[in-house]
Amino acid sequence: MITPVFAVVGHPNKGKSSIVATLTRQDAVCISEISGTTTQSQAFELVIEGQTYYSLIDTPGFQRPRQVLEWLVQHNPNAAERRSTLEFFIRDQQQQPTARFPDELELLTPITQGAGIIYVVDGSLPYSAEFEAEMTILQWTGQPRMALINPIGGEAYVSQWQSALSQYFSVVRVFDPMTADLQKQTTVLSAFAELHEPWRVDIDKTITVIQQHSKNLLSKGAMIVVESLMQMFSFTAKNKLIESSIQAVVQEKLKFEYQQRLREVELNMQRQLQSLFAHLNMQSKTEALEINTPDLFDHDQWYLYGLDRQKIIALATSAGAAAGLVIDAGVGGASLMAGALAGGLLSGAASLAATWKPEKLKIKGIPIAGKTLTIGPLTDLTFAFVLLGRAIDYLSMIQQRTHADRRVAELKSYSMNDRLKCLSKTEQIRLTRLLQRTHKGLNEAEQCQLRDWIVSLIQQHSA
Amino acid sequence: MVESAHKDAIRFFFAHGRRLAIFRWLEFRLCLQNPDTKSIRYSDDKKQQTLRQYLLAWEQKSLSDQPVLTGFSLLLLFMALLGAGSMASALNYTQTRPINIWIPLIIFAFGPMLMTLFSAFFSLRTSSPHALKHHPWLQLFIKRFRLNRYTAFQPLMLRWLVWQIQSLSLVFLIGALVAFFALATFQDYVFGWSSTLIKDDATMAQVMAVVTWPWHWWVTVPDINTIQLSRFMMNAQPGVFDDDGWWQTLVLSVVFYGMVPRLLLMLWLQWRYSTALKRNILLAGDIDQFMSIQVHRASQNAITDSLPSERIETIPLKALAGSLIGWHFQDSSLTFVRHLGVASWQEDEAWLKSGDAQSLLNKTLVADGMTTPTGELADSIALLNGDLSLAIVFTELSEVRQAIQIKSWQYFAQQHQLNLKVVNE
Repeated sequence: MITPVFAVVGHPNKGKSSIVATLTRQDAVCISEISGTTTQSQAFELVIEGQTYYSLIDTPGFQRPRQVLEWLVQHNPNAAERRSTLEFFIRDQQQQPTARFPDELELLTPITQGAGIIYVVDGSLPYSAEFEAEMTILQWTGQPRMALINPIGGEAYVSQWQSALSQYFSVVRVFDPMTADLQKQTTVLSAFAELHEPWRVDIDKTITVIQQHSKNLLSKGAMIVVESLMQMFSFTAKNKLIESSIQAVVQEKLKFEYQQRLREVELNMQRQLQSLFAHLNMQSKTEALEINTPDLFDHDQWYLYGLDRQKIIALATSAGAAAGLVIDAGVGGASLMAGALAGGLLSGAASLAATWKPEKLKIKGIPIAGKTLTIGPLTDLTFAFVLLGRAIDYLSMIQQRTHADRRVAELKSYSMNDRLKCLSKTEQIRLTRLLQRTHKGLNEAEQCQLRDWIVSLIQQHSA
Repeated sequence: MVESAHKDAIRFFFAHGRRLAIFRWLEFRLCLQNPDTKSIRYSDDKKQQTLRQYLLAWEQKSLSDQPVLTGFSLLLLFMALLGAGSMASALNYTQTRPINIWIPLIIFAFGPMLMTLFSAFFSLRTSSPHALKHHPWLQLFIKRFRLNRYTAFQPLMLRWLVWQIQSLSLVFLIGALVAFFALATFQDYVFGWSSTLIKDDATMAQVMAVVTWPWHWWVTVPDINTIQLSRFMMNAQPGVFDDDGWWQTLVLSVVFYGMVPRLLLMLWLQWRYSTALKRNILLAGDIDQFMSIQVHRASQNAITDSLPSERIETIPLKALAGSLIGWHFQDSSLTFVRHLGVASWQEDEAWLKSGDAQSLLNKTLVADGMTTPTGELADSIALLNGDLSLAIVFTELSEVRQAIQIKSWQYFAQQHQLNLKVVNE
């Protein structure tokens, strides 16, 4: 497979780095509102599962195009020698101790090494003659070239640009790297294919791969959500109550611990999703998770040595039966096991009575039993939907975010009701039932089912 | 093409065998879930590498040995010895009397077959979310071999455990068979049968016909004559025995009823475990997360200076005074000494170096705010010696866009130590 290489060139501050970031899914490409941020050419590849599909070279902007064009014109004998003159220009600049045109040297070198050209302009600013020197230089390279109109602050001058650019470039497209969804990105990639016939097959394959990869990522992101929800729903925290008077304090402590754990799991889920969608540098701002549901607490009993009431009664019954068995053996079996039966019943009844109020069981004032306060697992359906909704909102946001977008990601909350309307009634009921038992754990088939519903909720709501 | 990368991942994790594959995979997942180790780059090479190369680099730096496998190997050895010991006991407990064939058959053939059925039933429950509750001894196993950190991956772990447990039973039977052959080679054992309920030899012959059916084509099976002659009763003196065929019956029963079902169950559980693990590798997003981190690239030598925080002076158009030099300025409302940037550079350079330009006082370079400051402007400024200030004029541009443009001009003015003003029309 040939790996197409494109040099992204243009005037400073027209969004070249943003376009590179979006189309190669790299959020560490340096983007700034200050012009001249990029100082050297650097290749960024689109890599999917270890395979490189194309390479975009981020370049510094033209800084002295008129001067360079004048140099070229002075050194060029005729139109047929333009490419050679350009190559001579590069060799000349490289040989000088301090290049007079360092930026043009950086951006033209990859082009003369075979890269295609993507010329980027700002569609919100008017066309002017200062760009003609740049476009003329690019014409001299003889390389396949296309133009992208980036409407940074609006599309006021897009048609003006289209008219001017079509005289220099065979393909002209409008592309906003900040908001371009998958379809728009693949449309631009299709335009790449039109530039150079040998690249067509590989770029068409790349488009198919990207579309499939996008679906896979959403599916895997949904599976991360499912695993995180299972952790959150099934989590429990316990604390022994030595004295009932401190129950309120213990309850607050448990609630805090529970809330912290849920937040940790949610944060871990968000981090995983960020890695999955390659938004490693993304900053996000989400409302902290608050636990305000009733019936989260449950009471249980604790006994010394980690036993519970059932085990104590079972042990006592066994011990009583064993003692009765000794008596049965003593009478040679004539009691017909009545001793074992009676012993077991008596011991069982006695331990049942003794453990009726465990908090009263003390040895020299030291409690040997009492109540255990437990928080979780999550059985409240409303809160379950809250957690599901938060997770889906986050996944949906990160899936749509482009890699040129460096704003702090703020979560847009959609009502789960709106999302659920995308499912049929039957599916809504099945989803509800599945969420109701998530705290007990889901088998593989159920996990896949929940994952598929999450994907549906996102895709259909977006549509 | 997308699938082939994950197949490479599967091949990598299974490279050291199915038994180790799960630990390699779960360690990988735990590494990615740990915030401290998640973002580690496993290769310093700036060139993009394949998924396999990155995984190999991770393996070298992060993967540790699994003590559970050493413990498990010792357990296997113990089971083999237990099997051998059990067979030796079964063969020698009667001393000089015949060995009742039922006893070794039950211990080493029918009993294990029943256990295999139970095992198969409980193995099916591993897909249940409460699986661990059905296997209390597995909970003990997990605790003993410190597999608690894999609790989050319980379903997968259980499939591995249930598969591995089968090998314990198989090794027990292999140990028993090895012991049988070792002892039978050097000692004479006489097998017979005895029963309180089966009075009729013909009934026993029918029972044996059913039991020996799988191999009756190619091995001598106890016929009615052997059955008659090998029956012994309690408190009766042992007579002349013809136990031809009994030892083959015992050995083949162990194989067909003890080992073969267990082996089949083991193979089925191995397939189930492998399939589940491969599916987990394919469906989990960990490989993609890992690759995102490895191929993450930052811009080199990019300018990361912060903007100056001084307020920019805003002046009215009328306030522009002194020698005004235009830069890419199309508006004719101002009177300029010279328009730069619109003709050729040679003409601009010639003028900038001329006496006219050098003699100008109170120079103000007036630039169209919608343009971007470039190296050519910097060269022009360098040629304009003396007192120079910079003014930018915006026309037909939204406030938001103006604010973005001003940042570039502000930075440029700071770099070239110019006094910047924004002209308010």
